[in-house]
Amino acid sequence: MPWSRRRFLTSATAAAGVGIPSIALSQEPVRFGLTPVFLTNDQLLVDGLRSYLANAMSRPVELVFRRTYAEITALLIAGDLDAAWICGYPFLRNFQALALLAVPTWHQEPLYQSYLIAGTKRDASGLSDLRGDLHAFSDPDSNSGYIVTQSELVARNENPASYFKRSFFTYGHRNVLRAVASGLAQSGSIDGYVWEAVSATEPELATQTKVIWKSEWFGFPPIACRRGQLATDKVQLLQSALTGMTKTAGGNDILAMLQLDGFTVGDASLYDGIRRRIEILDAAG
Amino acid sequence: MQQAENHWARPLSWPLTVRVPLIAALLLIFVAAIASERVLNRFASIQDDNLRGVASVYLDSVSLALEPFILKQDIWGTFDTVDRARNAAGDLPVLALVATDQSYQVIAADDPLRFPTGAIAPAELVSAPDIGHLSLSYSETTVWTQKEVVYQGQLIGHVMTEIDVDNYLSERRDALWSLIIGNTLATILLAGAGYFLISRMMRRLHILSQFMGGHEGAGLEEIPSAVFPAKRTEFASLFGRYNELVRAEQERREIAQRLSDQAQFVSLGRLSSTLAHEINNPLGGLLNAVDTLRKFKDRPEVVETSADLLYRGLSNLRDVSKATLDFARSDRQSQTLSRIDFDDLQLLIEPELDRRNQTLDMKLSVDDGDLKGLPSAKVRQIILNLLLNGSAAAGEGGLIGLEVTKENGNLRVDVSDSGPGLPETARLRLTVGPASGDGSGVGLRSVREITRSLGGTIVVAENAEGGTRISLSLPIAAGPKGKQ
Repeated sequence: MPWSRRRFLTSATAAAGVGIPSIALSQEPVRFGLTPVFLTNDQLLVDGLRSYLANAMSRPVELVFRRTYAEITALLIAGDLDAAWICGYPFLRNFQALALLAVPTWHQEPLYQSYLIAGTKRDASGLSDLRGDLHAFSDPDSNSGYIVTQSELVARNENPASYFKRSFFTYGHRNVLRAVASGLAQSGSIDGYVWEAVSATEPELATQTKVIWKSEWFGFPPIACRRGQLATDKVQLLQSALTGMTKTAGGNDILAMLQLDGFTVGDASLYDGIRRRIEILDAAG
Repeated sequence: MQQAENHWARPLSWPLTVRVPLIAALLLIFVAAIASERVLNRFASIQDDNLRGVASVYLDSVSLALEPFILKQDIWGTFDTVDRARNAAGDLPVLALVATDQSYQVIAADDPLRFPTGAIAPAELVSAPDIGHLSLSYSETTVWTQKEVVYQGQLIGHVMTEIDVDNYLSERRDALWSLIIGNTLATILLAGAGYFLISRMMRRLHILSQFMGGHEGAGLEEIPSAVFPAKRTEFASLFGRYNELVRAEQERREIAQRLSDQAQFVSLGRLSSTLAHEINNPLGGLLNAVDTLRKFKDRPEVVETSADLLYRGLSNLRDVSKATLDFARSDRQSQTLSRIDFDDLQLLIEPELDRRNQTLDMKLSVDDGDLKGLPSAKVRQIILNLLLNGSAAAGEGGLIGLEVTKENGNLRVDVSDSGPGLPETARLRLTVGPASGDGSGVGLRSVREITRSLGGTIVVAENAEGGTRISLSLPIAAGPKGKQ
């Protein structure tokens, strides 16, 4: 299954390999990939991030959005992007090709959890209560929004394909929250950081759901670049801009909107927890 | 007064001033109801068209947006689309939006708790009319309608929406109420105008009616010229003719009164002649008795016999004069009838009978209790007249019959004679027609007038054994009833 996905990504890359020429500045722009899976597509945040990065690097910055992690990862590997904010899972799946550029820190740690959520009125206190549910996942390449729940079922000797009556992908952690809050799905797998962030900004939405299970801590979704590009000036500038975000007012505004503390260089060992989850899944075939 | 009691229970007895405007109002209501029904129908059909138009545009765009998601059975994409489309319905008050696959299994609805994903849509939705057949009824404040989602000619699903149509219905109710209020005001206005106009016309008739009916017993009265309509209208000529009629009637009454007075005198005249005869007859005998007393005043037995003769003769004269006096006395007018009156009648008619050598067969089958409901003077006058007539008709040695009985609450008086029968002219005088100048005619005519005034009837018949039988029937219970 993972290998077939990789083959799909390679072919998708060939199909989508188009770049947008910069006309803003003479220099070649830094192309930075994002997905609405993790970030809410807030125009204020996007504009702020772009102008912060452009100022910090003194270079034009192009933010590239795709709906799924798979599309962004494919663009990154194909060289259409200089860096991208992806999930730990596609980072590990493409470990030979990708290098860790920066890791966000949340509550002073580069770590986050996966949550299982259900409607507030639901009488459920764990994964075992969710059998037969209509379940919402965020993205098939999301660790917290898919891989953790699937591997947890395997670890509990359950068949992930039939444990839920039906499941669907919303391609956004916030959408998982909307699906569960509205009653479209009876339960959902969600990034714990997103759930907490939405709880702070949109409590009326988040309070319609409750967290019924929390995973162990994993490495926070990373900013990755191609392994061969890590040492280039462009990527190094980007890394400095990200890790130095706390040093400017504009950068702190961005961090406040993201509800993050900052960015750190981080180490690939942060993702050992996700690697263990992948091994469980791969072992099950 | 009896008419007024159930006056309003019988619409046909209502005054014209009420009936005509009422009929006009009913006609107007009828026309207004039909016109309103047409207007409301047209309005409803315009609303239906409007709703169909708006809903059609909306569902077309929603189904177009849903097409790729329904095709892929994408639950989230479908939900996200219906959720946004539900909030972007514009003027159309969309209450619910549901997307299903081709077999009506819900893919997603804007309210998943009401229509859960994976469930079969409720029958209400499945049977919902498509937009072309959507129409509103007064009983439902929301309606469901559906549209097929077709991709490359293949049916892939359905999109259904629930629309709040309360706005439309309240518009209809408003239209209905404004029609009802408008029509009611128009009806009241026209009925009022009708009442005003008709009552103006009817006022003349009312005056005429008052003058015609308002003077019972006292005779009719002329309409004073002050009340006459100013212009020379039909009513003015009607009033004029009425006044002519009143004057003619007054003349007739005066003549009748004079005739009635004459009748009294005629009866009295006839009576006095018989009275003179009656007094004259015994007077010779009485004078003889006085002579005898003078001649044989020293013979006590002769004196005794003569004194007795004088007493009987004078007593008889006293009775006759008393009966005559009673007949004419005014204070008898208010007295009621009794058996004594019949004794008097016998006394009064006796000289006439004796003169013609006739016999009176009187049968009284009533007592004073039966008789007291009738006025003495009038009944006496009727019967005396009939007896005198009968005596005249019966001829020398004839037989007169008087029979008084009680029959069905009436006093029945039968006077018969053995004469040759009542001539046709006399019969007419007794029943209809004018009085003739002679005494007997006046007598029969006064019988008729008085009998009528007592509310009685007269029947003239031939006796089986010859002669005439005149039968009066006088109601005992009350005095004069309504004149004929």
